Amino acid sequence: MSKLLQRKVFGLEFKNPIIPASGCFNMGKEVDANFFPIKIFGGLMSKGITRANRLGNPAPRVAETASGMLNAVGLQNPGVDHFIKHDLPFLKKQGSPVFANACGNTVDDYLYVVGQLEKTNIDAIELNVSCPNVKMGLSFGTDAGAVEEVVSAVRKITKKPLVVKLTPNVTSPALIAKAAENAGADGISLINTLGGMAVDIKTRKPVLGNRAGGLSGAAVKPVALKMVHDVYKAVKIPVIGLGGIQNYKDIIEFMLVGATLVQVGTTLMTDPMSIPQMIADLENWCKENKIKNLDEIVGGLL
Amino acid sequence: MQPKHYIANVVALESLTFNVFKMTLQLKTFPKIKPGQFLNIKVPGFSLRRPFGISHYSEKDKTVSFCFMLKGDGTKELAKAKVGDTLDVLMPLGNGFLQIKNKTVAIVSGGIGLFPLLPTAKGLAEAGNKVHSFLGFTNKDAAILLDEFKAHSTSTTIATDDGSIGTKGYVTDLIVKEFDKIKPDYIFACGPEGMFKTLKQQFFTADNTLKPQFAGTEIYVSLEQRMACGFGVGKCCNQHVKLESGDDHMARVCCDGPVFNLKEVVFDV
Repeated sequence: MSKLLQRKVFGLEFKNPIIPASGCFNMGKEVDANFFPIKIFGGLMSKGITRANRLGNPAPRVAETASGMLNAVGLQNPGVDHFIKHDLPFLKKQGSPVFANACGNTVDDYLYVVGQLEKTNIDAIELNVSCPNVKMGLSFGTDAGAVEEVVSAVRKITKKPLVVKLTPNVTSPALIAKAAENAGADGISLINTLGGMAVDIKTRKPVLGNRAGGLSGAAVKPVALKMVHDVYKAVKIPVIGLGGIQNYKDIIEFMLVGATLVQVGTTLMTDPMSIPQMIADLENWCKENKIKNLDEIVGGLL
Repeated sequence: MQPKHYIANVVALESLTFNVFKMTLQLKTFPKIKPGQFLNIKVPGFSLRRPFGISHYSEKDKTVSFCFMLKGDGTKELAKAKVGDTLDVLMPLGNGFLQIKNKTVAIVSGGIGLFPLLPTAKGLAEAGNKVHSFLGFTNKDAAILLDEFKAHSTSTTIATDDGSIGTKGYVTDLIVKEFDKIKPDYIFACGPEGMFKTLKQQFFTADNTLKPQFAGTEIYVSLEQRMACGFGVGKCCNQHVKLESGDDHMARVCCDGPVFNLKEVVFDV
């Protein structure tokens, strides 16, 4: 593999800018066993991890929408200690930087999860203050003061790169991003899913067991591009862009509006083999356009 | 590694009833398939794939078939496919039914639940098992693939809701009635959720032990749930299970199943 797509961010080396989005990759083993070696990703990401085991929401947890999907999984995960023992060694073995997506209902929860991760060889933390499918997660991410509080608290206990994942369900993600930056975040990732609903006209009930969920997929890309751009202009720290990426052209769009790295979620679930394709296509595009380093296009929007 | 991803050619699309179709796909390379596994097919214009139980496959011809009922916009679109079209398929997915030898197995199907049970009956018969099929349908017009089941079965019993063919009533009652005669080592079932709940009530006591008159049998069911990926990463197709060990968790229908031991399945209200 050539070095054309290499990125150096947060002091970590990424062989390309593509990271799986949390919740669309579980802990990596399924994609590796069924489709392609996951070491081809630039970076790796855990599913959202909480202090204790969570069973998640009742079925159905997924509903199709025009050019997208709604989910309400509810952070089903085995808890941070199980993750460290059973999943982290496999992810670390791949050689790409590993992020843990840390979630909580209270500042104390976040401190426990990050505190446990701090003792491991994990490379970076993505602080999830934006899951729409748990009772408290979203309230942190929609309030600049609460984001500042939780990021400051976590910053005190970790030396690892700390990325804060933001929700689009606010008036100004840039404002929240600035709060995270002021509190010591090393990077911002966005967007998490947009709050949404699907209705069954036969039963007159919501399709999702949790009534509402989060929208993702191609439908959210224009929203994500604008928000990534707004945040890029507002902060000095690197931005990881995600929301509806389906191919290499989408990655270039996100980089042009300011993303240093990108994450792919829904497409990884619906078309896993598009990942090796987009890596190859992105490399070809760089060659054809005589791009020597992707930094040349980051924020290059005219 | 051969990824579980195929670009397949449609070689046949036939209607089995007014609203049930059978599609046959030709692959260039062919994976090892276990009866009870499914495929997850991309329908042009839709963001989520549609999972269907594999109904027929031939390693020699490199063909795989699945049957589907017109239920919504996705299946309607799929039914418009033409011979020669290419479709994007993830397969084979899921655990499939147990592969056993020289036993007696009762197959219990409800409605379109019979499709993944067809290769299962075939595989069981080829492995020296005695297969007794109990097939339930709404009516005579919906009763399909009977000859194919008969070809693999020692006995085939039909039940319909209206009695227009076979016995009037439910297969879940028939299997209980015939249990002593057949004494199955295993029961393999697929159908609507209501059928599984009925089986659970008929075969298990309130504290989830097999009723004494059914001692010695094990019941496996192939479940259905809305899926996002079909290979376990999304955790969208959850099913509550409680294992013998006491481990109580949300399993994934797509990759921990779709076949589960009925004893371990918890039907939440």
